[in-house]
Parts: sequence; C-alpha cells; structure tokens
Amino acid sequence: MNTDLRPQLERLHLAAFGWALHCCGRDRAMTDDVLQSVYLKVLDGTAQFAGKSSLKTWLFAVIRKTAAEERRRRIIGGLRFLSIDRSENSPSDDSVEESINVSENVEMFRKALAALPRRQQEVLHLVFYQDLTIEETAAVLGMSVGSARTHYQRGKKSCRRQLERMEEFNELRQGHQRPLPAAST
Amino acid sequence: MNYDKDIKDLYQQLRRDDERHAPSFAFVLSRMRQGATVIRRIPIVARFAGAAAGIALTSFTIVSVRPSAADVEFAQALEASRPIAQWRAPTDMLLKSPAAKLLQNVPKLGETFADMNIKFE
Repeated sequence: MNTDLRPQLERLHLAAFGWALHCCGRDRAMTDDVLQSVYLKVLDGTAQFAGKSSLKTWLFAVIRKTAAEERRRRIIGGLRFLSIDRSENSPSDDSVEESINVSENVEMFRKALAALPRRQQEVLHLVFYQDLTIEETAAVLGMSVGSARTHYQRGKKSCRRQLERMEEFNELRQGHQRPLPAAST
Repeated sequence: MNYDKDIKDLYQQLRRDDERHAPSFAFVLSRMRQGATVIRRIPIVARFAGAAAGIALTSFTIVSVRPSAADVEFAQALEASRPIAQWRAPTDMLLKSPAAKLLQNVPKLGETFADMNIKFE
C-alpha cells in the first residue's frame, strides 16, 4: 500500500469531501462510498499520481471519474448489486442529514445552483468553493481552458440571475412579514 | 451589488457547512479497512468474457431452437396432406360389401359360418 500519499490525502480530505459531495449530487451515502473507493485506489496504487499536475487537481479528477462510474453503476445495476454494509453508525445517517441546520439563504443558493447546467455547476464549485484557478479547473474537468472560462462566465451570469431572484423573493417576503400599522383612533 | 463577492461568500458558507458534517479522514480509512464499502469490481477481462459467453449462449439457443428450412417445409407439406388423407367420397358406402368382414377373416379348419359370428350391416 502506498502510504507516502496518506498525509497529503489527509490534508486534502475536507476539500475532497466537498468535491465528492458535489459530484455525487449531495448524496451523503454515495459520497462516503466514492471517497473510500478513491482513497483505496490512491493508497493501493490503482490510481497513480504521475506528478503532471498538482496532487489536488489529480485527486479531484479521480474523484470525479469515480463518482461518474458509481452513478453509472447505480443506474445500470441497481443498488442491490453493490455489496455495501450500511449497518455502521456513520455520520451519513438520515437523522444527521435532517439535523443540518443551514441558513435559509445558503439553502436557497444551493437550490439555485442545482438549476444550472452540470458543467457550469462544476466550474463554479471548483473556482469559488475549492479556490482553484480556471487552469486547474480545466485540468480537473478534462477540458480546455477556453471552455472552462466560458462555463465560468456563463455560470456566474446564471448565478447572478438566481441571486437577483433570491433578493426579490426576500424583499417580497419581508414586505409580507412587516407588521401592519396600528389603526388610528 | 458585488455579485462575485456574494457568490464567493455563499460558496464559502456552503463549504463551512459541508465541513461541519464531513466524516474524519481516520473514520473513512477505518471503514475502508473494514471493507464496509468494497464495491464489487469485476475486472474488465472477466466482464468481456462474461459478455462473450452470454452472446454465444444466446446465439446457440436461437440457432438450436429455431427449425431449419427443410423441417419447416416438411411440416407444411404434412399439414397440407392431412385433409386429403382424411377425405372420404360421399359414395364410399356404396362400395362396401355386406360380407366384407367375411372376406377379411381368415377361415379356420372345422369352423362353421355360425361360429364366425359375423354381423351383416
């Protein structure tokens, strides 16, 4: 087992989790499975880091590929073909999922993002969430820098539109919640 | 309004939120060691071999179950000849001899006509 990469994997764990969560459509159980498969691939040498890019970029590309494989597998084979033991008490339990208390704006933003095309979502996530450059984003997604830039610009534009709608919605809601002026006697 | 900053802020909120609920690295590794999520991975060679065997079996079944052209022709001819074999002329009964049974039986020595017990129709 390739243990040299272990400390580096640990350092990138939270970022990897965020990216895996995005690639798995925020499905926690699938994210856990994908992340474990990725770590297994990296540590047993099935996926080999050639050093052509940064470790983070490479790891993100492996996560994206593994998540795509997993999605395909689930679509084709159905869940019953997967030998997954879900009996463990993991943090992905539904109770934990329900207990997530995010602010309303973040939740709305999340929904707004879900309406964007997948490529735009990926580019925006990598740039804004993971702080990658457009060049690194292009490397992770296996596309040209020009394409990544186009997706980035379009994604930002769509996101702006969604934010404007959110603002309008919030204003409208605040207007409704404002107490009625007291009637003069 | 600086939307880029807003987008960045919202993404960072998302990130913080995700990180709060992320399993630890040690937890993921421990589950991995226990083999809790060993997704069954079939080697690509085995997949191809399986697919090839499946195709061969299906083809063989189709070929063996499907009748040959000669068999089909014979069955059709047999089917066509059946009504002819069963056909009887309406005047067939006129050709019957009242003593037809007498002619069909083999006579025995010492047997009388009464012993033969022939009923005339």
